Amino acid sequence: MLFNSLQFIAFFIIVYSLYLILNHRWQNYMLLVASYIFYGSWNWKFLFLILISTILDYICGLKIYQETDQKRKKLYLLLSIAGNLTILGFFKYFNFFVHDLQLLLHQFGFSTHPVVLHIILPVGISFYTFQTMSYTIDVYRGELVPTRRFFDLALFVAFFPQLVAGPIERAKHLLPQILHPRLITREKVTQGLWLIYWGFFLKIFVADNLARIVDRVFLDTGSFNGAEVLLGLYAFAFQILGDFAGYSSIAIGLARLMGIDIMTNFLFPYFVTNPRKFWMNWHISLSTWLRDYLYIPLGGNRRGNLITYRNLFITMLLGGLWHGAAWTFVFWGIYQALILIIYRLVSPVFPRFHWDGILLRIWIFIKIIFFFHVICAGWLIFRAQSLEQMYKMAGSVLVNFSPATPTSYYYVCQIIFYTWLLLAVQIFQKRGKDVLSIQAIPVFLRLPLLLIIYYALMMWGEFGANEFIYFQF
Amino acid sequence: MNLSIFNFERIISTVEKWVSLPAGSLSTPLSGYTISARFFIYPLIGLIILIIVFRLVRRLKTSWRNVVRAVLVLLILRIILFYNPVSWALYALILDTDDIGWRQRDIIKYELKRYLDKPPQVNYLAVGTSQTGAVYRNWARSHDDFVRFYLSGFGLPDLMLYRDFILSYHPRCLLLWLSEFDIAHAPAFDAIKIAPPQWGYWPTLFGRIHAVPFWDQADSALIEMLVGEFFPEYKYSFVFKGITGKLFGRNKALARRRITTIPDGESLETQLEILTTSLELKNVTFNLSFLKDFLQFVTKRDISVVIVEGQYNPIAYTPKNLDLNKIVRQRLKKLSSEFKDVYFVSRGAITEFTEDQYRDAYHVKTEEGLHFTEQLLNYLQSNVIE
Repeated sequence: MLFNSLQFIAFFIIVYSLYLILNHRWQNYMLLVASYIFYGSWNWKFLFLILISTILDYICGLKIYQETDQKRKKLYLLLSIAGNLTILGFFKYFNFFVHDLQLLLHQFGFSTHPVVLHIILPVGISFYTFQTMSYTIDVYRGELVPTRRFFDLALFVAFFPQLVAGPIERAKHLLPQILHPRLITREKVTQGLWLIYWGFFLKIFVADNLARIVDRVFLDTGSFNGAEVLLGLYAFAFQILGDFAGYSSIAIGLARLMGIDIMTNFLFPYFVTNPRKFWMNWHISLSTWLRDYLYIPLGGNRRGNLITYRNLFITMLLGGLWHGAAWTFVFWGIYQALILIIYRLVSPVFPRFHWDGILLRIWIFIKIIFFFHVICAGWLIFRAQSLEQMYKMAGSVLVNFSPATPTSYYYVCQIIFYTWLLLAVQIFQKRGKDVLSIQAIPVFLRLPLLLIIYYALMMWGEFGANEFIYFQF
Repeated sequence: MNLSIFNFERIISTVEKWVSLPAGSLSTPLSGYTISARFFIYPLIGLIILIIVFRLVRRLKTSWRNVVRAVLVLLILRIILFYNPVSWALYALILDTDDIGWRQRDIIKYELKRYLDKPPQVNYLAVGTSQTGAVYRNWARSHDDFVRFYLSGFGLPDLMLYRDFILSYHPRCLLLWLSEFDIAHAPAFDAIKIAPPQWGYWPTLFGRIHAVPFWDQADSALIEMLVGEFFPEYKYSFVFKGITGKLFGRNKALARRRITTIPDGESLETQLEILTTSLELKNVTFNLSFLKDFLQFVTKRDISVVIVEGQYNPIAYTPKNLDLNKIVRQRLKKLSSEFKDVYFVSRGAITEFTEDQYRDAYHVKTEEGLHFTEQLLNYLQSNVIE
């Protein structure tokens, strides 16, 4: 059941109608049932995995809290983490590792029988596994008191708006909102509606239209020259932003309609000038999760430069692997680690210009454009089907660059057409330093904006109910 | 009072010159029509009313005023974009089949024709696919009482979907060109979305499609159709996608990659492949259910119907298709006999076209069609219609 399908709209209308008439306790029961129906619409069998994770973390959370012995606390924490990671590892990475191990053994002359299981990747497993792990870790750290209400914890794990593609919520933020009665205010409803509307625009107008360029370029790489491949990468940069930020926006909007605040997942990732800021704007729920539960426990940046670089490397490598079981994701993680390390190395020695006014703006603009291309190089690694395709496309950009073709012209026009409004709104949001700052603009500007979005959606939207990219993770 | 003040043909011919279109590319299909002044007056009145209401809502509370104004702007834009003949004429001028596809291009012509005055007396109205258009083309152009209404890929469900437009001609006799080519053909559900609004017929349509084994394919088409009835911006999105595609040089870009933009297969090989693979017995019951609905609908209104057994290039008369032909012919004969004013004319009764009389797998050469039509009308006058 995709957000951009009529089935979901019908589903949500029913759920929301019930939500409005029920009291807090029954709201939670109903939301849990709705969340399980939502997830079961993909494959009901995988509901057991969610249930196993929930039961495991419910028990471990209480045990960690009750135990006074530090060693036993740690044991329960490890049990929770190991249990969750075993499920994730088996369903997501088993075939990848077995296949590559066989290849490695083959290199050394050992022949092995192929042990490849036909495993279907449960949708959203990476998201809810990380979310549920945050619960036991926070309890262990003493930052959260575990709940005795099993069904409320189950709802925290399976809350349908952000179950399959995030944002990855923290227990200490979401769980209290589940445990206590929620207030639906007019402000929350208007914010929620705007976020949903904007999310659909990002997905249906921006992402799914640009997908046609991206799919064509990545499907038939050999027949495109460097300029066209580069345009394909630009298109992918905005496709993945529209797709993922669109999903997050809808998820946050749906939750807000119910009076629940979910953390912001995307700000303005292409208006930044360095990788550090990029990760403060892109997939914030994952980057902060990795920071809080991996990078800082490893030592963060407090133990000298070398250890910091090691920590960055491990964190980003695992962050890359989190996205999927493929070497391209591993390399993407390494690439992100390298640009973060290079930035840390270069930024202290890079000359600082004390410009202001127009010169400063031009300089920032140049840095934004430069860094956008650095990010696009990363998207090439991320989107490529194989390392071979990645080399081929990179070579094409560097060697076979001939921009004046009808295809280039067509792609440039399309990219401008499908992204101009997104960029304009993001510039406005960035100035207001808030994704909801658009609601503060005068009505005579807001109404035309809403109408333009309406026409963009209706006249140019791709209503094929295309899956969200991050579902595969 | 005759309100027909504009000679549409002349206007279009002038516009053709302005935009350097080949003479007759747009005006010929619309020749003989005049556009009624009321179709300019009605949208204008609508616009004036909406603008007055727009001014009046100043008295409402701010929040309601904004909502009402947004809706009013939406309605004003709808009149400008969809509910007047000028816009459709403009779309027809701008867009070609390469930009939007055959069926979509025909829909623009259809929308435009809705605003045109129909000929005062129509004896024969030929309804069907582009085959119908080809067979009767020359005859219709030289006879004012003989009119064609055809759409690319016109399927049997379309008879019901376009029933009101068919009635608007007040025809004495309908000519349907039907054979296994139409009746055993897989239904094209994607065309449902751009059909006229079906308010009252929608439950029946839903039931008809739900009752046959195409539900999985028709599901989204029916939903799209329903959405399109409330949101013409969505229904006619092909127009705006076509315009931006044209502005951005889509055809040039795609031509280099040899990706066809035309949904209908145009090469003889493609057409033959369709004819040998897409005709299936399982489609017959589904299609005939719509034909039966349509025959009931028109015969109730004292319109006689002649089902002329359709033909296509004999090189596609495979054993399978010939078997289907026998079955379909029997079913058509049986169905015709159930109605008082419905007649069936089999292939052998007039002329059977030979391979060299076709310009491709589907369409006869127009000069052959002219001869055929003459024979058919003579046959009808002496054997069927008294």
